[in-house]
Amino acid sequence: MKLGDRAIGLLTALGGLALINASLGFGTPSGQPVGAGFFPVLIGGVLVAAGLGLAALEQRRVGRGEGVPAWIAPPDFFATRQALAGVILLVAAIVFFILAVTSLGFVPTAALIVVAVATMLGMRLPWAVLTGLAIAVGFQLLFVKLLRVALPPGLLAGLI
Amino acid sequence: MDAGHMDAVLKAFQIVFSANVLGVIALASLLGILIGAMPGLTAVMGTALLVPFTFFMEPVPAIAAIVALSAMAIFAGDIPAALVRIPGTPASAAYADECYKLTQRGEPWRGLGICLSTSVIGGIFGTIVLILAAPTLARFATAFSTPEYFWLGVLGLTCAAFLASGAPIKALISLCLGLFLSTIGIDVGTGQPRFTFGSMELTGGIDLIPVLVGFFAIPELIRQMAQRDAPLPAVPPYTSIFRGMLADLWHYRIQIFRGNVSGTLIGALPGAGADIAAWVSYATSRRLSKQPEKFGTGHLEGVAEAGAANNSALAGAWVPTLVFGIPGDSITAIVIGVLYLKGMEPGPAIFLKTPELVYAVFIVFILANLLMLPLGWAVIRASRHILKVPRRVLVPIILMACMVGAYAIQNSLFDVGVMLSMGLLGYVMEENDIPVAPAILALVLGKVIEFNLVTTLIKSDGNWLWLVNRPIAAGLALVTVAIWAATLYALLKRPAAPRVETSR
Repeated sequence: MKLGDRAIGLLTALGGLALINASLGFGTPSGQPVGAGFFPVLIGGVLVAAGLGLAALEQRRVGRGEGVPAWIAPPDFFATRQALAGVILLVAAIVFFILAVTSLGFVPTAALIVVAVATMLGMRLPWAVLTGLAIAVGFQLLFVKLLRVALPPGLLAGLI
Repeated sequence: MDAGHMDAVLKAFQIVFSANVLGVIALASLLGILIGAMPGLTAVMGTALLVPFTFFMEPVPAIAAIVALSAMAIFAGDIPAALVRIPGTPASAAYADECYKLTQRGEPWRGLGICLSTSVIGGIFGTIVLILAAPTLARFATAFSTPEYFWLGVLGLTCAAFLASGAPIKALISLCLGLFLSTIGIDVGTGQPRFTFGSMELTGGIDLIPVLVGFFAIPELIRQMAQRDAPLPAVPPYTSIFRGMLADLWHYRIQIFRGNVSGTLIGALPGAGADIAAWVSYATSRRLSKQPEKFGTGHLEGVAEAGAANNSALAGAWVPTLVFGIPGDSITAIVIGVLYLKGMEPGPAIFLKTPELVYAVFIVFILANLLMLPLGWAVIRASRHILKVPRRVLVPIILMACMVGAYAIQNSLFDVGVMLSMGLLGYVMEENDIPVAPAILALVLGKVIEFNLVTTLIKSDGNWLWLVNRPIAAGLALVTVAIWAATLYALLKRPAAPRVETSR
């Protein structure tokens, strides 16, 4: 998602205002000069100033006739259907990992993700399955055996 | 050197020269050199993906792995730059064209020979400066109190946003984002939860590692997924990188020395890392050259100077990291995160409490740079094959390393979600030319800055003058304000600043 400087600036300033608004509610403990909201209010102030400054500078360039940049443009990966599908798959793969890894277990989840991503990038299915298994088992050995990190066993509980 | 120091040095040698640590150094070096040699995989990304592994190691091997990996990756980035005109890491971007012109002229191996040898020289020079400067500065820094640390932090962030970036306002926005992320969770001063939206996971704050992995690896994965396979240009057959190397080094000795010095200094500047050092050195080399017209045609002069600069910057960045706990670049920002994870607070005290750790870092730096010569030679020889590793194998491996890495630190799927959201945010930021490095530095430094500011104000009962009534604090404040004023002046006078490559 590409935004013009004016759009980024205004969004930033709004974000800064929201931050100030939320931080003012924290209050100051008695006997202390500053409370929990003090530092976030400072950050919010800088955000408002930076956002307005960014927007004003672009507005000035527009005023001088140095071209009118778009307020918003789609991201690069919207250019082709394949690229868009690739990016959606990537995000979906991570969401799938979060949702499925506890019940399915690390090795099956990881293998499925690798198969999907590798075939999307043009690998033939039999090779993708082999690669998926190799990467999943490799990470399992590396983390569970070598680094002693518990990865969810899921379906394979008791087997590995 | 007194007996205490001698003891620490001996202990450091003992720790580093154990089979375990040497093994870690060798493995991390190999990984670093491969990551650097592959276009798209940067030194910072490699370091970010390495952190989850280091989490489960002892402090010295953990730090050694980072030092070795980053040093190798910065050099190895030159290989695809020279052979196929794609810099392996942003640090090689400054002279990628020049190296590639050498390849087109039929001298790829001479160019890479210079890249490798100047990298080794630069790395060792930077390390020597680190060894000499850090302990001296640390003694000086023991007199620092909360106002000094507050200003050091602010100065560090100021340099990162205003000196190391071509888009100061956007860098400032990125910096505020990092500062905001650092405030999420329980406030140490009052015990109040901030911006947690009722989430249990957020009460503990945002963990650095998922943010790092998200910011530095996910945007690259998105680009890789959106790209079509492009056929790589042919790599010429290998002859020798050593032929004429010594003569070239001697011929450009002044440039190499200059690159060493400016690289170390730029590296030590908070926020500016190896890539900025390379850009500045390449430009300096051209400006001071007797044959500036030859630049851009496959001329070794600028390559020698910038090749030395980026590797010396790496060691230079460790000076403020170890002495003040203020990171010199994105990689040392990660190092600071790792040191905190290991229960070791970087700063002058580290030289007193665990001097053996500091000496071990020095030894590892020298070892890694010496190891670069044989490993670099081997990888240059094998570069034909490394450049052919297909995306469809690489992308799933990196994706898996991201997810498992984010998960493993706290066994938390919430962290995998944080990684994904930060990755998407990082992608949008990069698409809009908002650099992500300031956000990472700010996330690391945010708590330090807030703690020192609030503590100073509490000690002084709200008197702001306490922030500037000690000489060093006042000096630091003055420098900070001067940089802000100069940036503001430049913005108002010349709004369309030329864009400079920023570190990722």
